[in-house]
Amino acid sequence: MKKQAAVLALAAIAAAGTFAQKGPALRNRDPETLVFVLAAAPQPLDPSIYTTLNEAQVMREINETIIGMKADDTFYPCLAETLPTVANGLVSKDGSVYTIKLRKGIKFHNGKELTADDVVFTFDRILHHPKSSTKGMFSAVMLVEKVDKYTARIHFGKLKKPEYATQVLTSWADRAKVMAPSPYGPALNMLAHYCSGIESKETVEAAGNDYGTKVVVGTGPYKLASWPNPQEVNLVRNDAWWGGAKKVAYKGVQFRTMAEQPQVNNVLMTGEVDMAFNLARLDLKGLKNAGLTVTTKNGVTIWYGTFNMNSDLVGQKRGGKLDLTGKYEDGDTTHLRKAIFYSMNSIPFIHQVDLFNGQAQPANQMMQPGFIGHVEGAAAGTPFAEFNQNTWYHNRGKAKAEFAALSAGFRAKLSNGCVTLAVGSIPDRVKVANNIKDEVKADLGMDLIKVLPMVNAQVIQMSKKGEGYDMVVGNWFTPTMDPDYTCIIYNGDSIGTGMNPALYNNEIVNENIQKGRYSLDAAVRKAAYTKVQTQLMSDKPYFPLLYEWTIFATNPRVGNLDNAIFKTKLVDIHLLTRQ
Amino acid sequence: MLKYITKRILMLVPVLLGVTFIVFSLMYVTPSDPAQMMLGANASPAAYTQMRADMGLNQPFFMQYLHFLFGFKSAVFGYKGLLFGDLGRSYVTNRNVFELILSSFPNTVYLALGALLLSIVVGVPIGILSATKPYSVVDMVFTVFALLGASMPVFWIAMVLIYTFANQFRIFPAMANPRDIWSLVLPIITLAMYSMAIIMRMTRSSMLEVMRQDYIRTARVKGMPEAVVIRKHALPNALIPILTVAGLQFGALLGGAVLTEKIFSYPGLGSIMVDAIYQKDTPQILGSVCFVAIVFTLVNLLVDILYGIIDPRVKVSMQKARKPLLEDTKHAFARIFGK
Repeated sequence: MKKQAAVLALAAIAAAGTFAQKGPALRNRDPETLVFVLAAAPQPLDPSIYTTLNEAQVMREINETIIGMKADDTFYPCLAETLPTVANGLVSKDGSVYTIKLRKGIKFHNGKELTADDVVFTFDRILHHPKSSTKGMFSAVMLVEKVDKYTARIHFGKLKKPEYATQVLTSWADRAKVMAPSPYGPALNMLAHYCSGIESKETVEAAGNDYGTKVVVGTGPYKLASWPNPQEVNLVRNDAWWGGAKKVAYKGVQFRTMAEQPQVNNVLMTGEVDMAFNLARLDLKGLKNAGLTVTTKNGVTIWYGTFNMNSDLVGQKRGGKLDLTGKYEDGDTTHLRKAIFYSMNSIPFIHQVDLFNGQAQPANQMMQPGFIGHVEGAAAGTPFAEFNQNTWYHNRGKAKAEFAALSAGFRAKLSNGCVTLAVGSIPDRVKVANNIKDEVKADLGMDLIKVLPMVNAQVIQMSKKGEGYDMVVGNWFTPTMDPDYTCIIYNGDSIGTGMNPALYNNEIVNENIQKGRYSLDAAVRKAAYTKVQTQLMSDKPYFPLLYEWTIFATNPRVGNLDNAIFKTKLVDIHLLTRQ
Repeated sequence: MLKYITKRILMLVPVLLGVTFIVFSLMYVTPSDPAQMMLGANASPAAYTQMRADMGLNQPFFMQYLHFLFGFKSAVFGYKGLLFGDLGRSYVTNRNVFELILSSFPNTVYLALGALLLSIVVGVPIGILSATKPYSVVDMVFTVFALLGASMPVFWIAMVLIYTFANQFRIFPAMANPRDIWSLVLPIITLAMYSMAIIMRMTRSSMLEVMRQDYIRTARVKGMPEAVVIRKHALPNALIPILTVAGLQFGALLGGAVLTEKIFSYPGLGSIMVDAIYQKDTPQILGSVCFVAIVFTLVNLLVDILYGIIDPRVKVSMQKARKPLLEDTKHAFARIFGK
């Protein structure tokens, strides 16, 4: 009996030794196919209508844009023959009209030729389709017209009067009535954005409601092979790709949906998938030890908080009403706002292993680094001078001084949990909010903040009117790679949309956002956005916490990661190599 | 029997109406906004208002519920209604709601059937063994096993199995796929653990009860071998409660596969439901819940019919019960619509 047991134990150990592997190996799958993990099931593959990162990753390999953007943020002509500039005459002198000369002979996956009609159709759909979620993003497009078979003209503009913003524009004619020509700073960014991927007019119209799910057609390096269930999309290389199919290393791409981050790490380690970004940051070391390549880049996501200007405790009211003049006076609410601001510190939670685990950097302003609007340096006399890489804006002395400056009457109104910090019930956001609560308690000696997790949509709804909360914590992602898109969160025009939960409205900020948006001059834009950031950090309706990095873990067989991975968490899969 | 079945199927109507009303009400009061979700960030208030009107979300609660039942006319978001088998398209995936359910449901059935089969194949023999040697060491060991199976959370079992058999020993994949049977082993074991424990305990208690009966003692006195006593006399009589539990477990497995499917990235109905709930995709949630309710009721009906096959006495009682039930139905209709 003992002998038998010993033999069995030895056999078990031998079996374990046989099966146990350390590094990721391709398991039971085609080496010609790259398996990519998406964080959630993609919506229909229809770039004019749908915008989340998941379908964007799939669509960018199917639908190409007029202008392309490289991982180093530079532009190149994609479906266009040349990059339009004022110098080459393809951008009008006033900067409002872009002439796009399409490459000739480019074919969609179903063999139909790409023409200017498709360009006009695509932008018409983006701007006027009832389901389109990108109307706002492309709202500066006034008209897209066909010049000839291979030439289209894109006119940019702005509203003649601000009150026209309340109108629903459903056609080019509607736009012509309320818009006037204007240069548009982010024009190339918009033409390079994945949502402006060009679609085939004929195919989309013929497919009707089935377009994006059963019928998907583009000009890109990959075409849709199958979509057997929402969690799996299979693409196959487009051997007739105009860009040169031979340069595309993988014959197929399989997208698999996986929301559970520990499971993402598991399947990377077992070699069942090649690439993922929604990793459990807690175990990045484990991924590296398992032989996976971990790539880190500065991201375009900013984590920040806002003080509600409509709050009786931390807001900015005049005569009991929200002060929309933007000319704030110091009062009790200002002191409390600043006391809370100086009590916070993002450094500890940047290093918290179950939160960012060091994969972020402290933020000193509400504009991501690398964008034209990001203020470099911290000149004396500017609010940025108070920032320190190791301590953020945290200053216990100042916090206590601001708290001590409160009037006795106002102080008497304060109690434990009286300041409501609303947060979308996403685990990381709730953790950040709880950190803030503890930090404020530690510095001010009073447990002022009550964290209120709720459905994210509810936070947006409340943010429209600025009721039911004093503070909010969230994050913002700028897929266009242009500062104009980040400015949405503090633009006075966004009040009522839920995107400006501070209900902050400052003339200097609003004017300079407009200046930056409607100018092609980089120097003018930079100066305008610098003023915006300076004003924001003086008023402190927002508290920029950190800039989150983009992290990918990849099977060691995948190469050319630096050129293929974007700060936006998107990847040009056709640029990846096999090694 | 046919009338009994027809009646049970007819009973589905009030059940479904109740289910839809409850789910619809819950969806209505949940603080979320499909219009905002569809338009995305940076939507102008005008576009938002227009979208709510297009989707019929500006209508009062009961009107929206009636739309859901009888259809909604809209150029983009129109549908014929649940009563006509059309809930339109998912807000998120833009696929026909029922098409998506029907394409993913077979995947869930594979998992549930596999788990049920494993539960029965392991649970019943262990239960019998425990019952034949009550309070012995073997019985104690299996009781502990059952307690563990019933009390371990699904996600924990799944992660342990993945870590051990996928990460460390590389025997099974960590990601499941309906086209790869090998990949279904870990999710099936995960899903089966709870049912296995329940079926094992039910078999044990049912067998213990039967084994105390006089006819079992008589069979033993007659000198019949113990194996034959168990197989021919005890087990068939102990089967009905086991079958009831197995039937209920199958229904629970269909609904309970949600976590297992999510962890193993398996494309079943559970995954679709969870995604729909996260995204407040009302048509998809309602369609999926109605579908699960129908399947659950039909599985229970099937179990009832199987009773009759296993035990003819049940069949007779069903037939006897048929008449008064029919009378009750007639009276109910007379009360509502007059004679």
